[in-house]
Amino acid sequence: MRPPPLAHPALLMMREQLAQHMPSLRRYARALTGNAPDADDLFQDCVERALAHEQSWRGQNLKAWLFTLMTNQHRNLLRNRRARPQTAPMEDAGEIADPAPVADPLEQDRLVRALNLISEEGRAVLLLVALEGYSYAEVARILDIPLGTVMSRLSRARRNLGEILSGDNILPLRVR
Amino acid sequence: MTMNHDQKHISEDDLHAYVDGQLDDQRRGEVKAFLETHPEAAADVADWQAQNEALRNAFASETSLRPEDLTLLSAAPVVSRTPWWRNVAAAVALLLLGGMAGYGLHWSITPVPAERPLLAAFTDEAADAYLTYVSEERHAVEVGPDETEHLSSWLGKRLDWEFVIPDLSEEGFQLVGGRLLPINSQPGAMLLFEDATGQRVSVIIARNNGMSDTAWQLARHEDLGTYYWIDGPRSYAISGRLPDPELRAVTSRVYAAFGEWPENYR
Repeated sequence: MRPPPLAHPALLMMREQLAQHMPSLRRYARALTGNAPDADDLFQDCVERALAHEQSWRGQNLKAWLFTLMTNQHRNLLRNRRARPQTAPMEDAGEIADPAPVADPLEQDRLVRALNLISEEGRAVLLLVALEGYSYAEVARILDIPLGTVMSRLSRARRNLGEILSGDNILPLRVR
Repeated sequence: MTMNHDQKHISEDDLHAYVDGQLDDQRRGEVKAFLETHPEAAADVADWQAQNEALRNAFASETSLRPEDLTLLSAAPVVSRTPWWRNVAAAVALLLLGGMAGYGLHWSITPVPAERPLLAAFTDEAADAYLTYVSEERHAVEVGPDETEHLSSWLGKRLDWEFVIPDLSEEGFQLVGGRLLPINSQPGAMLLFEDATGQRVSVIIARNNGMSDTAWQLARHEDLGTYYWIDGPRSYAISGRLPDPELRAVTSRVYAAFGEWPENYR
């Protein structure tokens, strides 16, 4: 006779849980990449990679693991891009050249662009804290970095973001 | 947090933790008092609070699931050698999601169901079913034991789950038969087993109507014991007037028959 199981079968419902975390993952992908097409790609890659590991999932904190996965994938993506020469699509160039006034509808756009200008490392920390509400200790675990590093990256990210936003460092991108 | 809990000293880490709501009440009070006399720190804090809010607002519209997201889940093949419960889990998840999609995907917050009353109702119904049908000699069951396969496929259709009737012969119980019965206003299946002394045990399989999964538990109504557990889409109850070791042995057998449990969770 087998001993009484202590199982929590809910842990097995990985796909269901994954689906529940999808909105958060989408948001994180959008904030990390700063644009919709890249966010879509990152999101889909992350889900596919998670499903590829479905068999080895043992009920760990799925959400934290998904954020780890996505952060790493995004870092690799950036690394690969840097290795290749950058070309801007035509429509983006047009957007930058457009001397639109900084009005309320653009505030959001400004923020997203500013976010893109700070370091990728700091961005991940700031987003996990501010958007996802993770504790500093949880962020340390997700990113596999010491707590002190979380704090220094957070500090730098906030100060850089503040400087960019207040100094309107984005505007020089516009053609005068 | 490597926060310095010195009353006098407030570090920058404290300021961040204050902004992010990661301080306990006492420390939060101390930081608040500190900010009143330190305008530069107060300006930083105000800045960062505004950033947090702006970030949340900027991406607020992103927190919705898109219909195509679900196809990512259904498109992924369920790897072969997959135990049945994974297939069931995936199917149920998708079924659930399909239903949710119909409701405009407004489900980012899952309400916590009133578990206790539901569970209590379920075990009560299982015990009642036992008391109602077990004492009846002739009409307790609708299909006799000679038609085991027919029984399982007939009940399985009503439950939307093909199952194999567990073999309890090692525990000394033979199948008497089974019947369909309403559990929580939905079709449920009851299997009835009997040992050489005429002692009967009922096995009830019902649909899970929103309860969270549980390990098995025992409820006792005087001498009638009911072991029950919830596993994904289904809830199970084993009832009998047996001393605990015997009823537990039967339950263990049924539990094993209805699922392959991964090593970690045994």
